[in-house]
This record gives sequence, C-alpha cells and structure tokens, in this order.
Amino acid sequence: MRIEEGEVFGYLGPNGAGKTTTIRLLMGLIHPGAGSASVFGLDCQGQAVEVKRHVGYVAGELPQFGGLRGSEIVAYMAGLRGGVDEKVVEEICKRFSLDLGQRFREYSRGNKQKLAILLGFMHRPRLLILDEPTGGLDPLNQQEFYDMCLRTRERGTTVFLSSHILSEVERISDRVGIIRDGHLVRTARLDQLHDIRFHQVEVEFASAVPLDAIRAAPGVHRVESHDHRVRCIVRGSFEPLMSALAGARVVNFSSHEPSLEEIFLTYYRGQGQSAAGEVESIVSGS
Amino acid sequence: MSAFGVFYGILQAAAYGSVAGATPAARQAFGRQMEALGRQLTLVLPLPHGIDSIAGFIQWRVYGALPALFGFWALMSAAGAARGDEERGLVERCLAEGVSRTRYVAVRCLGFVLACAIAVTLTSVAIDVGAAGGGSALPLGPLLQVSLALFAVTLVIYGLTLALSQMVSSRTAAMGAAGLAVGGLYFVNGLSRSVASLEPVARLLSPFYWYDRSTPLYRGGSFDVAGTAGLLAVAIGLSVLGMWLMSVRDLGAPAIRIETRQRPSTVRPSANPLLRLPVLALVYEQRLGLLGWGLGCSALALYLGSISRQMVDLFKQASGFSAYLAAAGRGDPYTALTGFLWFGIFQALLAVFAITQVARWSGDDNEGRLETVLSAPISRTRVVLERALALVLRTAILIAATSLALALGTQTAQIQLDPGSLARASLVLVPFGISFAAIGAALAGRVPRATVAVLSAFAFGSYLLTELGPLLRWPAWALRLSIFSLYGAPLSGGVDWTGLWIMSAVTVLGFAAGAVLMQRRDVGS
Repeated sequence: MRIEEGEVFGYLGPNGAGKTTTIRLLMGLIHPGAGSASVFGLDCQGQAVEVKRHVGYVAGELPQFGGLRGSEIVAYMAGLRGGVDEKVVEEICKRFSLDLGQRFREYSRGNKQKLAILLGFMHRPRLLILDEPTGGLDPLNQQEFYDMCLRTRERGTTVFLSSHILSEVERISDRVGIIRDGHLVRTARLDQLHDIRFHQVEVEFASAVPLDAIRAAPGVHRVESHDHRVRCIVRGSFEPLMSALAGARVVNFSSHEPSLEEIFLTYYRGQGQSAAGEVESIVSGS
Repeated sequence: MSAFGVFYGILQAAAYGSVAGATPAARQAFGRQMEALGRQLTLVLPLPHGIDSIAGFIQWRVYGALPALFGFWALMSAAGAARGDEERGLVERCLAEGVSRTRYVAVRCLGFVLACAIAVTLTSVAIDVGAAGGGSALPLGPLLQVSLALFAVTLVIYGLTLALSQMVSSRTAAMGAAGLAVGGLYFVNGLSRSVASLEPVARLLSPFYWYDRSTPLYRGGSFDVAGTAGLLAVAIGLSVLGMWLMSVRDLGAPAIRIETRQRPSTVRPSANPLLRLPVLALVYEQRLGLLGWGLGCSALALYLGSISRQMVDLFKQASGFSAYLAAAGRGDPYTALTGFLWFGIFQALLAVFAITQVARWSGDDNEGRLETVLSAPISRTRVVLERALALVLRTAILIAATSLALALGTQTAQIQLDPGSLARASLVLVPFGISFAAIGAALAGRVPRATVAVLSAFAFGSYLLTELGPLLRWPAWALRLSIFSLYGAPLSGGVDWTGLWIMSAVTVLGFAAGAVLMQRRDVGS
C-alpha cells in the first residue's frame, strides 16, 4: 500500500478488519510480525520518534484524563510535542465550540472527541492519521470536521482516514483502501468503487410477479421470490429494474444501502484474498 | 483484606510470646508496662486493662487496631461501589439491563457483608491459631463476640461511606469526604478517652465508641449486646439511606446539587508553566494526592514524635523490649527508638505510596493516556525516565515534609535529633521507596495489567519477611532478601551501605529493565 503526499486516503473496513492495527503499526505503538512501514521515508519502528514529529494522531479509543481541564491537557501535550501555535488551538476550539475550561470528566462524549481531534491537528502536522475520528460527533460537527480535513488537504497535508462508514470516506477521500480480515483487498480511486456498491431491494406485488423480466434486468442479482414478494440486489442504476417492473402492480417497494460489513460479505464472498497486500510504504517522498 | 487480617493476627499473637516472656511474673511486668504505654496511645488505641494474658493483649493491641484497618477497607470498597463503578460506566450498563438502583446497591452491600464476614472470621481464626501456637488458646465465646463487634463497626463505616458517596460526584471526592468523616469520628473517640468532656459527643456520634464498649477478651470484660446491635442497626439504616439517595439522584451527579461558580470558558491552553515541563507536569497532575499523603504522614510523624519520650521511657523499663532496642541500634535510646518506630512505620507507608504511583502507570496504559503521550515525538525510554524522575521528586517532597514534622514532634518532646542523622535517614528513604517503584516499572513494562497485584504481593511478602523473620529466628541472609531490611537504622546506627547499594542497584536495574521491556511491548492492544 502506498499513499502519495498530499492525498486523502480513506481506509475502509468492517469492525475487526485490522484498521486500528495498521494505524498502531504506523505510529510505532505495536511491532509487526513481518514486513515494514515507512512515513516520509522514515522507518515507523526504528525512527518512530522522528516519524511522530510529522504526524498528528487521533486515536480510535478516547484516552481518560480524569479531572484535568481541557486547557491543561492541551498545554501538557503541547509541552511534550512543541511547535504548537495557540492561534490554531483557538481556531479549532471556536470551530467546534469547544470550551477548554471544563474538566475532562465533565465533557460529553462528543466534546471528548473534539478534544482528541484538537490534539491531533493543533501542531499542523504534515500527515494526519485519524482512526474513526467522527465517532460521537453530531452531524453539524461532523461537517465541520470534513471541512477542516479538506482545508488541511489544500495546505498540502496528507490524510490517512480510517473509517467503517462508506459515505464518510466518499466525502473527503481521493483514494480508498479496503481491508478485510487483516488483508488489503482493494485499493482504488473513489470513482472506481461504484462496482462494490449495491442496494438491497424488496418488492411486493398485488398480482403476478414479473420474475423473468426481473432476472433478465442488467445489474439485478440474487433474485429470490416467495409468494408475491421478490428480493434482489441492484448494482449501479435502478433503471433496468424499474423497466422490468413496468406494468406490474407494485404495492410496496423498499431499498436500503447495506452496511459496509454486508457489502464485504456480499462482494468478497468466495473471492478469496488474492489481493492481500503488504503494508509497504504509507507516504512516499519527503 | 483477609490475607492482611490473617497476617496481622498471626504476627501479633506470635509476637506476644516473644516480648511478654514465659513466666507469669514476666507477663505481669509486661502487662504493667503495656498499660502504662497504652495510656500514651489512647488517641489510636483503647485503654488497656489486664493485659498480662495473651487474651488481654489481643483485645487491646489487635482488636483495638483492627477497626481502623477494616474501616479503611470498608471505606475504599464503598466509595468504589458507589462512585468508582459509576465512573467506569458499569452502573449505567447494569441499569440499562433492567436492574433497579435499589437492587444494584443492595447486591453490592450484600457482597461486602459476605466479604466482611469471611475476612473477620479468617482473621479471628488466624489470631486463635497464633495464640494456640504460643500455648494459650483464646476462649471461643469471647472471640466470637469481639469478632461480631468488629463486623458491626466495619459495616457502619461501609454504610456511612455509601451514604456520603451519594453527596459528591466522583470516587476521589467520595473517598475524601468519607475519609474526613470516618477519621473525625475515629479521633473524636480517641480524644474522648483522655478528654472526658468529649465523651458525650463520641457516645452520640462515633461508632468506634460503641465498638470499644465490647471487651470480652479482657479478664472480667464484657460484650455490649445492645451497643453491637445498635451498630448493626445503624449500618442497615445508613445503607438504606445510601440506597434511597442513589435512587433519587441523577447518575454522575450528587444527591444535593450546590451551584458553584462557573469557571469562565476559554479556548486557550493553560498558561501554567509547570504543565509545559514534562517531569514537573507529572508532579503537578498529582498535586492533590501528594498533598493528602504529605498531610497524613506529617500528622502521624508529628504525633509519634511528640509522644516519643514517654514511649522510650516506658520501653527502657521493659526487659522484654531488649530485643527491640537491640534491633534499633546502639546509639542514644531516644533517637534509636524514635527512628525505629517512625521509620519502621514510614517504610511501610512509602511502599504503599510507591505502589499507588505504579498503579497510576498501569492506569496510563489501560486508560489510553500512554497511547496519547506516545503520539508525541518522544521515546518510550523518555517516558520511563520521566516517570522515574517525577516519582523521585514526589517521594523526596513527601519524605522532606514528614521528616520536618518528625523533627518538630520530637522537639516538643525535648528530644534533639541530630540534623545530619535525620537528613541521612531521610535521604536513604528515597532509594528505598524508588526501588519498589523500579520493580513496578519492570513489571509495568512486561505485564501492565497485573503490575499492581504482583508488586503488592511482593511488598507484602517482603514486609512479612521482616516482621516474622526475627520472631521465627530465620537466618540473617533470609532476612536480607526483604527490601525493608536493607534500609537499616540510619538515624541511630549509621547508613547500611550494603543495603543502600543493593537498593540503588535494584532501582537502576528495575528502571533499565522497565525501559527495555517498554520498548519491546505493544501499547494499546
């Protein structure tokens, strides 16, 4: 897997796929059984301290700072890291309406997540490694976060965004890597991912079911019929299915986008793990 | 607690045989000395009566001290049950499963009642076994009666802490509030033993007063049935009050809300310069804990220092204490015994202090703080070194404060401690305390989640070796395996250089091993 400097790379995978493990390897927090990873040409294990000078990290699990105030946590981490511009801290706090005067234990889950994001962004790093960073944020603050990521990219920052939410990755990523069971199964530009998306459709008819027409419709797969109901999955456009239904008496039509887990189970079922990849270089150049 | 009770019981019962002598005359002389000594210790122990027998000695020395130890356990347990579990989200989880608040608290209470019954029983059995080993079995009836009184007073402390915990919003605050209340009740009772005007207050408020009324192991002593039943009734009442307060308050909030001045909101990092200096930041972060330890230990040092002259005078008259005096050193008996008593106690306290600091390191790992710290460009070795330096600083502050208090206390008792000796004795305590933490650092680098348990067991075993070894006449080399024995008696007998070098080596090796193991292990998984 290779990520170019300045791009936003979405790292997708269902729960337990290995996203956090990859990130902890990049941060030098855990040791690889085999293989290697490098950031800006620096080895993530042997030169972990150097690597982290360039990295802003938002962990997947919130740390617990007990009775410390937000302002004290920021000051402490700024003291450890150095190079923190207080104007950036103020800007991010205002953007998220985050009050640093409160004690950590008094923060809501969303505010704790905002503080974690602030700690990752406050030193304007060259690379942001974000492990499911929007967990606990409300939709308005999620939007603020996406805007912040996009503005950060405009300044040339590389973003490695781990998520299990497809739509989140679609919003801000240039490229996507998909991991399942610890293996990188696919890397692609966003516009190349349409073939893995599908909808689960259920149609209920008042009279005869046009089963042959449905089965013949392009992009319609796994058609199952029971009484006056049909279940199928649709890839791409709905138009072929709608044409097949023309003239039939439809009393109910439902469609939903499956979870990422369901997508993986459906799309990669039986395909093996031929695309398994080695984490070789996360950001090239320097 | 059961293990501690068993150890304490066996130790005291076994010690009686060694210090009281074997003949009736020697034991009567010992009893007279103890009664004279006991009059100096009424703040912490009840007044002794007829302790020329092992039963009397056990009543005064063991069952006089156990309420404080069991009370501390009850306090920690109740604060953890009432607020600690809530902070960890366990209460929310249980309530979400359909468990009622009343049932939740009731189950925790019943669990403690059962644990307390087991701990009290095991302790009493151990005391009886220890006494029987010395050839003087204790009468079963009175032993059961005094055990029941201990059980009752422990439950009162549990219920009181449970109720007080509902008035605050965090485990730390619950421990603080309950600590003040229980400590106050304990000392009101202690003072009432010598200040008669305080007796009505103690009678009205202090459960320890009603516990003291049961003295079935004394010759001619009695068991206060009404008092003990009253304690059990109060325990039930306080527990029910705690349950009710829990059922009417919001989760995470105190039962009675007091509007406090809101701190102005800010979007700027703290300007506190201490937070920008890593080692000092770690000290600052734990300033309140350090203050509590400093005040508590200093108060104890001041008190023991102030009564040291009377104690030494009594000890000097007691032939049975020749072994103690010999162990304390060959110098001035006032200095020697003051050092022996205070530094003996303070070593144990420092070991506990070191364990609490190591627990914090394990917490850093479990609660994700270490992962956050390591996301900054700092090495793991630096993390270990900063922890060590911060601990040295905290330990030095604690030792300095208590040594100053000891000097003041002994001055009021007209005992002049040599400043150089006191400084040396204090300085040697630093490597003593840090050596425990160094072992903890090595363990935290390898098994962070089991560190506190393993280190506590090691400290307990080490202390056991020092306390029991001389009584059981174990060889000198076996006693040297305990870190406690390495400290020596620097206040009166000079620095034990071998011990100091061993403690220093343990410190260096422990932290070095901690750094190496920390480097190798995975963080956050």
